[in-house]
Amino acid sequence: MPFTLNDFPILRKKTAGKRLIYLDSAATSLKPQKIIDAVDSYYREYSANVHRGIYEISERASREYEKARAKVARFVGAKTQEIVFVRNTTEAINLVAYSWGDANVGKADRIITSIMEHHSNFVPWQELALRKKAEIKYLDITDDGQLKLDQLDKLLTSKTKLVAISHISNVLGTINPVEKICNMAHKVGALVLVDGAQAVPHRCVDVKRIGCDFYAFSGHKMLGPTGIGVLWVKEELAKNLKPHFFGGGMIGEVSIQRTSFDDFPRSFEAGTPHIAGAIGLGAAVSYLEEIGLRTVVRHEQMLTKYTLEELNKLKGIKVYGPASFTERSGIVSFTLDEIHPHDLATILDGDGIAIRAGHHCCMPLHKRLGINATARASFYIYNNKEDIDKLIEGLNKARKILV
Amino acid sequence: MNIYGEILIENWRNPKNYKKVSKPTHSAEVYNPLCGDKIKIEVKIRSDEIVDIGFRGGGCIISQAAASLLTQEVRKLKNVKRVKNLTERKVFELIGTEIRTARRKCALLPLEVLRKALK
Repeated sequence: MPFTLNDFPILRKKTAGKRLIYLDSAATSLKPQKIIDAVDSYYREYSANVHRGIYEISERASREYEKARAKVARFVGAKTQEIVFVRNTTEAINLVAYSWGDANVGKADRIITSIMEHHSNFVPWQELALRKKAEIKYLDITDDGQLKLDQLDKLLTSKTKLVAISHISNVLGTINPVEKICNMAHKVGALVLVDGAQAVPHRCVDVKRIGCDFYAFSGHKMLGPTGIGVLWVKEELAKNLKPHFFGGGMIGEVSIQRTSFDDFPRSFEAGTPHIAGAIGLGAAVSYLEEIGLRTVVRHEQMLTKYTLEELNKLKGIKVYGPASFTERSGIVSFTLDEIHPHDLATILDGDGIAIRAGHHCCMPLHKRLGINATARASFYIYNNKEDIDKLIEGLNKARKILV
Repeated sequence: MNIYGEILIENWRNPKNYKKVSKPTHSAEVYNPLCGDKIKIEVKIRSDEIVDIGFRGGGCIISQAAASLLTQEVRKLKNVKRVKNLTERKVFELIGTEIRTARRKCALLPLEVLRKALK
């Protein structure tokens, strides 16, 4: 790979002689020095506001901010003017629920989402349905952790306004057939929002090829800073979308009687944006492009295959999600005997291994699986087989102490 | 560092007072959405004295062991006023090991339930 672990300052640091074994990239990724530098240089060298100043450093800030937008757009196969910078995936989805949803979803209309969704692609729709007295339906999953597409066929009616679905499940690791879902939904005139939080950092995403209408993702899961995320809206839709937040930076002309708004996406970025964050995200895109997403996919598939093989050798293990590594991303959730996942995580933490334990913001999914919590290991470019060996070693130790 | 010392493991494996109390005068249940732990405590009080206490529910080692240890302490104290004065620090003393911030909620869950029951 055209990078080294030394690119990540946090991995250079040793605690009690041990390197951090970070297996929680589905929550947030570690940051390479280059991204930290990009953020740092904005604050040190040209920390002016964007689109306002007539002086050199403000022009530079505006240029870099817009350059980041263009980079992000190219990265996901979008047009620059279709990209809105937001805080994170959650904000992007809420923004669609309020701006598009409130204007287009009415009484007795239908919204379809799935049982495997993260709360961020679940609760905003539940709330919209409550506000509008609309109906909400949930797609179920198979025992192998795949969406039941035949069920979707039956749920899609002419009253269906939206299908909101994750590209990749943050618990099961399932890669959902979003292209197919878009085809099916569009046939009845429904739009599709794809939650790409777990997809954009890990595979080649092309919003045009997927054929969706809205696509949301976060910067911090793809080596970028926290507090910066992206909402992509298809150009034809973007034109007619009413802004949700009003204020500075998003207006055309303001008079006491009325205000006209700037064009999309500026109309959706009221107030001073997270300039450093956007620039950092731009740097993260460049960094990932240098490595190449194909390399990322190959690396993660190798790790996922190895992890599934090694986990399945353990007595008392139960792994959730697709059995085949080719059908999943680098996210592996599991339980070990009757050990509570929080206790597993605490024991692993004792050896400097960071995993996630709990419901991972997917309570309905865990209820569907009949459990309260799972332990989750998730990977990125900086993980290697040695990390997985350490994980297995830790799990064996946990069994020894607790079983 | 292994926080799972003898006291915790023993109280988790063989919890004391894990039972239903017959005709309880006070009871409460609290759910910890973070880990899915749910603990219910039932108490029987007769003239300012706790004559019986039991807990039920599932969860992690820390919350289960803490419930076992706490209910034993309640049995020792008996007097309602004194039980009401039980502090968070006392719970950690009973557990006998340092609990990291993220797991403190697990250790304190039983105390939270007990306080709610006695309100």
